[in-house]
Amino acid sequence: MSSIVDDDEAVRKSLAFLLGTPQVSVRSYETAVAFLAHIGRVERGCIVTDLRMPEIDGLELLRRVKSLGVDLPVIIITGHGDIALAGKALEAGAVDFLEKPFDDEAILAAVRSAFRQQERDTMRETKGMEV
Amino acid sequence: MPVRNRSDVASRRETVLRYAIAVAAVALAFTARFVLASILKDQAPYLFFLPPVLLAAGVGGFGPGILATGLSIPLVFFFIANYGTVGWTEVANGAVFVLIGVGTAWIGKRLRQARILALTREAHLQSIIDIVPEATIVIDGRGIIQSFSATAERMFGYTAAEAIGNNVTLLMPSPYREEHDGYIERYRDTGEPRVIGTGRVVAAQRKDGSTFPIELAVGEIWPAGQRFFTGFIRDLTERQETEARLQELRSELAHVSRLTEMGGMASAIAHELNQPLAAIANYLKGSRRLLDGSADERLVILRDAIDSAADQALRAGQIIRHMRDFIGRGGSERQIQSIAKLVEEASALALVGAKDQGIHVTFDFDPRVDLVLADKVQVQQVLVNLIRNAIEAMEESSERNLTVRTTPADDMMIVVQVDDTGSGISEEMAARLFQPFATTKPRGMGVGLSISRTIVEAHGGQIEAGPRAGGGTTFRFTLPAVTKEESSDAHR
Repeated sequence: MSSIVDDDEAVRKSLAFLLGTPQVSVRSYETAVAFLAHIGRVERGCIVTDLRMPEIDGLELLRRVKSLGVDLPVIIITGHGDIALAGKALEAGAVDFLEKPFDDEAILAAVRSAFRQQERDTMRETKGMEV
Repeated sequence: MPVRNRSDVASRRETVLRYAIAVAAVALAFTARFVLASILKDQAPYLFFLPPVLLAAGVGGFGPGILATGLSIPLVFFFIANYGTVGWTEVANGAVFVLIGVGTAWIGKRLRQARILALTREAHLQSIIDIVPEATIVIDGRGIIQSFSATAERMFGYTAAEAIGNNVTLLMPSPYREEHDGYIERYRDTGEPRVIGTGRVVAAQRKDGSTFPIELAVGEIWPAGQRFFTGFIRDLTERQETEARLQELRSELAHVSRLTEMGGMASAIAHELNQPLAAIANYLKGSRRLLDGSADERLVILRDAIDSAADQALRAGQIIRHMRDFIGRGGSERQIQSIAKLVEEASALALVGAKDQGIHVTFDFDPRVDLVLADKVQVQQVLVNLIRNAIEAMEESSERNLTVRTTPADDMMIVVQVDDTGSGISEEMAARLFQPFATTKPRGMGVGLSISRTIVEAHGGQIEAGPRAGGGTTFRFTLPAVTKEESSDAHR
């Protein structure tokens, strides 16, 4: 399942629609606060979050997710990107950084890649436990 | 002639010389009278001794005059005794001579005093003329240079010897050169002054032919019925260069400020438009995916049309991105700069007109850090903003200290800190200080600090404000530092 965090309703709904077409299950949140309130219930999948949001922005959300030890890959989407910002996001642990508007193939590839990465991480952890 | 404190030795030597002249003059007169004694006998013996008395009194003053008189008396009586007889008439003549001698010595003393006073005054005047930053040139009523000060020598490149005796038009470019004689003539005829008594800015010409701006003030003097004009000349080259530089900086700032606003607007528009464009693209691309694999011919056409529509939304996004990049690039040109120089220039600009407010400005540059990678004009705009704010904040304060300081920070950054002793800011204001349209000023848009933040963040730095210990406000911002090695690499 992928979690979408974006304060723009049109973006949120349209992205949910797009990701829904290849049967990716989606849950949307208007704010990072709303998402963090539900984070305990999100076990697998990835997070697609906007960067500029009131209260807690995308970068801060990313840091909090990491500090909580939640193993969810984070894809950052923004209408206001530049190279420095992308660098910061990737440094903070984002798996991908896309500028709005983005191509459907690009976002789907990013989501699929995030899923695969999570599967690999889970397998490694399981293996680690077996050893 | 410069005034010097003459040593006692020199003064004593001069006194000895004055008396020696008296003795020598009397001895000379005696020799002459002695040679002619066989012809003149005892006739007019005093005649030969009057010139030595006059000379001794005129050159040496009272003492040498009296000495010459005193020496002359026995010598005169030597001739009278040898060639005639000494009677009451001779004694009376001698007494008259002594009186004349004393009178002459007294007049000589006064003359000498007047001469010394005149020389001292001239030396004082000359020392003033040599010291004042203005060049001083004296011309006579025909425009011929009579005096040319040391400053004038430096300013024009002529020595006084070269300049004196020439027409003052030597120092003027055309057309003044050709017209100046006419100016003097007109003034002589009509008495209507053009520059006399008032100053004006005119062009002058150096020996090498280069012209430069000067401020000229001319005074007129009439010593002993002869007309002279004295010109005081100030070189304006430096002042005009400073003003031109300030003007240039001001227009650069205005330009950048417009560009920054444009950049900020483009950025805001880009963000606002990219959201709906993203939504359009998402819906259309999603719809197209739903139609994938459909066999219906009409649905295939529909699918392709939707796909094309989505591509157009993406294209619009590309156009916005290009526009933003273009404006961002156009407004910024980063180079290695000295932060101390940036601060000094920006302060000069921000303090224009603020000098009379009694603001005490201190710079404290840490020698360990100086070079930054920055857009000069943009960073200066930030500094001017902060300094102007500081000045305004101190309007009501009794203590008005402005300090700009640079210090090294972590992560290869330089901190630039602007402290004032003004009214300070509330915590509530500090929190929203850098947002657009936040202002505490009765006049003012409240965009200065917002633009400052945009600029600092675009440089990879951060800006913050807080209360200053001891009252007032502290603004700090960071810029990426450049080491000397990096700077020389960049220049290679």
